[in-house]
Amino acid sequence: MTWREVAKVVDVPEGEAIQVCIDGEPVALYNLDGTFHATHDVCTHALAHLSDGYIDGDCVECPLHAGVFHIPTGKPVSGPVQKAIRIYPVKVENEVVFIQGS
Amino acid sequence: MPSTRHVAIIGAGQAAARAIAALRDAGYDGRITLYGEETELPYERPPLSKEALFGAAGIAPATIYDDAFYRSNGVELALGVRIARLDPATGRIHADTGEGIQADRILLATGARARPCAIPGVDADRVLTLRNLADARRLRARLASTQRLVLLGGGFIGLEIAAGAARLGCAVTVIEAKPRLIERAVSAEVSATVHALHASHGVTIKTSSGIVRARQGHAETELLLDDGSTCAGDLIVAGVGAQPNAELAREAGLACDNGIEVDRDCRTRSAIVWAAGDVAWRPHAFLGGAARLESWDNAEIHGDRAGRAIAASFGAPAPADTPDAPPWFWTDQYDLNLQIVGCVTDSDRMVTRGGARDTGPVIFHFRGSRLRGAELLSAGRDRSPVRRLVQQGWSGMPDRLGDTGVSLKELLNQAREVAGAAQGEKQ
Repeated sequence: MTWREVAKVVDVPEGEAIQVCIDGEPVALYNLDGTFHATHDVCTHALAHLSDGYIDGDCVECPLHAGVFHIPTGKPVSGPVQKAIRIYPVKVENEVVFIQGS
Repeated sequence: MPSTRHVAIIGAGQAAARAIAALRDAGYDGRITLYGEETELPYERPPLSKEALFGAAGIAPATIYDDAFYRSNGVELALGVRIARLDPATGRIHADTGEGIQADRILLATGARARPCAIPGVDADRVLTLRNLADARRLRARLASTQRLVLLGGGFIGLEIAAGAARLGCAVTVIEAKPRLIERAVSAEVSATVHALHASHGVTIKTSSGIVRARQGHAETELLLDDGSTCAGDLIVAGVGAQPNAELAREAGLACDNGIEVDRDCRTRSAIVWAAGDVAWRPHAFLGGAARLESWDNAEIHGDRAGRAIAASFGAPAPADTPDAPPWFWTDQYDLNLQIVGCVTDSDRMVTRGGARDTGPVIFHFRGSRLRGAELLSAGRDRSPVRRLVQQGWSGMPDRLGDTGVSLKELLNQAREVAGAAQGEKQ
């Protein structure tokens, strides 16, 4: 369980997400009003990237079929999604964002 | 709710699967039986004209839920069973094997089938259509050895197949009767964009074209078109629309128009029969009248609504009457993901919002001063705020929607504030 540096705070505008990579897996890194969260980037329903999704409050809507996940917990909220999305621990130190890989 | 109650769902597609989830979510704990003519668990159809035909992984149904879902929800699966008739007064159903089934509620989710396309002088088995997994399997096998492919119909299905086949190296010709591609669903501007995209991949497109005659060779079929030109193919695929599988309902005496007539709760004129998905003709407030929509999104909405309404008929709380969202469709061709929200074919004013960051443009459509729809070209990220904006309405200057200096989120908030203020004045 190692912390990996994935981005600088300034790389992720508030209310948006970017795609980063951890252990070969695509991960979406979100900035929700200055608090950072990370989920797996591939929707649990079909092949689409949540980092391309629409963020509304603390939820993200998949750009393909409009499945909605709660970002802090990864729980499915609405739409066709049934399975929760994997979440990753995140920490910020000296304006640098770290995600804990496996 | 006593568990001896029985809901029979006829048709095992996406609307059916969503209805099952909604029934259980709403607290219905009685029997559910799912009848389907195909032997597959309910699966999604959009991949059939995309990954299923051309994906490296081969053909596997994109099932909506796995068997564990049906097991854990106590759903009895009667797959590979055709229902021959039903009595909407008593709930009696007959399978074509003669078996009789008694149901307390019936949901018809029988979908639609590809419209047949007869070409004079061509054997019917030379013209394939694509609707279900078996069709996709047949088509995939044939495409592997096809050099020249002719598509009848320049709609979503035909063009998705054209795009995939062109990428495989087939010589592809699309024959469309209308003056432009996808005329029913997209604006003239987007038709032109799609036309140019296919042309750039070497696809020959013949619009305003009909077939005059055909000549069958050993393996190939030659078609003479009404402009005097000919085109030949070793495979012909017709994508000329679908028609509702409403016969079961019609023969049972249920009212049918272009599909089975239902109310907002997807209930037919019978108190114990509902209909959902591609087969249902349902009032749609955004469209201003009843409509039969063939889309993934519509199947989701109908299935959920019907499931909750059926549960409510047994005493569960009535489903929330959420406003009808603008219809939403999408298609994938080459690297273009085209999404369509609301009404875009009858607009008299368009505002283009240039792609921000790595997304393509969004074209907003107005009719008079009313925002009615939008087309998103590889701009899936914008779909959610755009759809909400179309639903909310926009009373500002139309050109404001083209100002990329203001985010869609901000525009949506402005629209909501205006709507909220107007609501406040009324009260």
